[in-house]
Amino acid sequence: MKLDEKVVEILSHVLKVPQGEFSMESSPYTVESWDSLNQIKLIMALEEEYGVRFSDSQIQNITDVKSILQALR
Amino acid sequence: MSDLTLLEIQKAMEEANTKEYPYLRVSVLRNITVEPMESFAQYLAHSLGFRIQIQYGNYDNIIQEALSGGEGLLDQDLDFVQVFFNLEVFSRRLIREFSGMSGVEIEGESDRVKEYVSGTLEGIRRHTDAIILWNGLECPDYPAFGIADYRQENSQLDIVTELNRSIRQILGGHDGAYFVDLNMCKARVGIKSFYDERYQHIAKNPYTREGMEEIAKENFKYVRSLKGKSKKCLILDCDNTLWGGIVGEDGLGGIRLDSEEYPGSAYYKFQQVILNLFDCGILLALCSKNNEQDVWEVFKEHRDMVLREEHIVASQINWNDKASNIVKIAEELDLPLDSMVYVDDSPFEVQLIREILPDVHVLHLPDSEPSSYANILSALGLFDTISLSREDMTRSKMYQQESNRKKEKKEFSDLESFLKSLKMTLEIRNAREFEIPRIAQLTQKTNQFNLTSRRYSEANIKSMLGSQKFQVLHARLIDKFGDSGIIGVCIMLCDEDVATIDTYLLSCRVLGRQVEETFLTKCIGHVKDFDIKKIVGEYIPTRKNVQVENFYSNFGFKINDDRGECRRYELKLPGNISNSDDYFMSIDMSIEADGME
Repeated sequence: MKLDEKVVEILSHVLKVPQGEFSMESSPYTVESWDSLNQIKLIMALEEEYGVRFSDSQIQNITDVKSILQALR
Repeated sequence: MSDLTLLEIQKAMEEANTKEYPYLRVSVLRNITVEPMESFAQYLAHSLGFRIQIQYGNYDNIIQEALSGGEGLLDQDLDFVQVFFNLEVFSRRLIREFSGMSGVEIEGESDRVKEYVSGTLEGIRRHTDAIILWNGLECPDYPAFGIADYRQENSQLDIVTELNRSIRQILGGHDGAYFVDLNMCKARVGIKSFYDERYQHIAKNPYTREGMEEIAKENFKYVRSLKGKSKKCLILDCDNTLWGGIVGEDGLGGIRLDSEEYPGSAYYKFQQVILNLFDCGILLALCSKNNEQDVWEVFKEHRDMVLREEHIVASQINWNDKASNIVKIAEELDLPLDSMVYVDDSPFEVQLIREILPDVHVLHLPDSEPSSYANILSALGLFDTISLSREDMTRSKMYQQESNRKKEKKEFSDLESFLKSLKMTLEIRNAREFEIPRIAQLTQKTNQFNLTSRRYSEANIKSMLGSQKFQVLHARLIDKFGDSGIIGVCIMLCDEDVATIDTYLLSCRVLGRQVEETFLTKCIGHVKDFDIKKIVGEYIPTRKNVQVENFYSNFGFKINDDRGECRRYELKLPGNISNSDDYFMSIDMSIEADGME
């Protein structure tokens, strides 16, 4: 799996961090602004941009960039 | 905004240059998560010419922060306090365990809600006079007793509705506190698209993106109104807008307009929505490429025309370009372009006006779907104002009188004899309690003849009336064509022997009739009696009040300080003040002297 441009763009706008700073392993532990509040904004933006609806458990499992890509597959 | 995604809104806001916009300071007290709403708020604030600064109180700390002030959360610099008080969070029992509650328990919980609301409001008012927007309680979507709810001694829906009524009543006891109806937002969006249980359980954020957008929009209708940004005039295209078809080609009998039958019924309903705006004081004008007599023939002869000639205050029906025509209408009515809304079905005209006159709000009506017209106009709330005054309800009529006055003006060769023929009476008085809404409204809405453009809420004016230092005077003009109502406000701050004119404004309807100088002369004459030795006038330039730039110097004031945002002028008393009483048939001063020390 490789980084998806669109996902990085969304992450960057919601978390207010430059696009280049994201990797597959970026997570709430490595990005300071990725708190629970921004997590919900992130979910909303991802759902809207991709026209999908995550299940409860998918939302729970979104813990880093890699898991976002998995949820979107 | 609905056609933009959250991401697009965010991008647009990051790129927007709002540096020159004034701040709109908002604090949010809440027991739910509302932060994701901020993008919408930013966007809406930007569309009104503000940059928003939002501070959030801690989760579920509404009354605590209201009472303590919340460490800088509530202070006098604030413009708005938004309260999100979710009933399900506050009282799970009333929402989720209702079926197990006794009457006494229900009453106890209801009282607890009311006490919390009163306590919060009193708390907020100890710290700030900012406008309070209280987002009301949401009715349960699936009441505990289901279809039998209304047959119970205590219906859950009734209880919540009753609580909302109580909240409105409690809000009514405070100045500048308003109720925002979330049930209306919910109904418009639809329950299924309004809530998202996943967000609620995971982040205590009950609403979907659509839900939050609608709530933000509803709150901003109040912001628009209270910040003086409500639209005042609706300019209408005719063919395929007010009726289906083209009158010049289809003829009076061929156009589609009918009280019952589609498609004419869609245009008929659209006209009814417009007439409703007229009744609320919105000015209606026509801008149409047509032969003028064809259009007026429809207005006069068509049996299903809802709008009549008497509803139209200005018109430009010709073959000139629409941008110049709209400018002409604005000049005739003496209104700024940003107070106008233009509707048209032609994408070309819509694009043209948007590009040439970006200040005009343009609505595009899709001619393939006339049934959508009525809602397109209603949904935006562009004309909503929070306090409809007597002046609003009769404004259109007053403009009509004004156009009669203008016609008469043509028959006189000199201004003086014209003005005298109007038999004007100027009435100047201290503001009284019941006039507070109109005075506050004038400070909020007047942009052109307004020396300082200071915006005041009803609460602000009320506290001035209670203060010994402030003199709040207003002017009303009556002439042979009718009563213009309250059209001028002068607020003076008297400190020892100096009186500073904090606010001096006149409604643009009455400009050019010697009220400008006469009203001020009388106000100065009034404070002269209180050992005032010096009058200080202030001018704060804005984009719209250039016409009063030299008002004080022309009046005889000497400039004292022209640096900074506020230019200060001085007038030593007794100065040499010109007398323009002659123009008036009478000047009625009934000012109470005990307003001052």
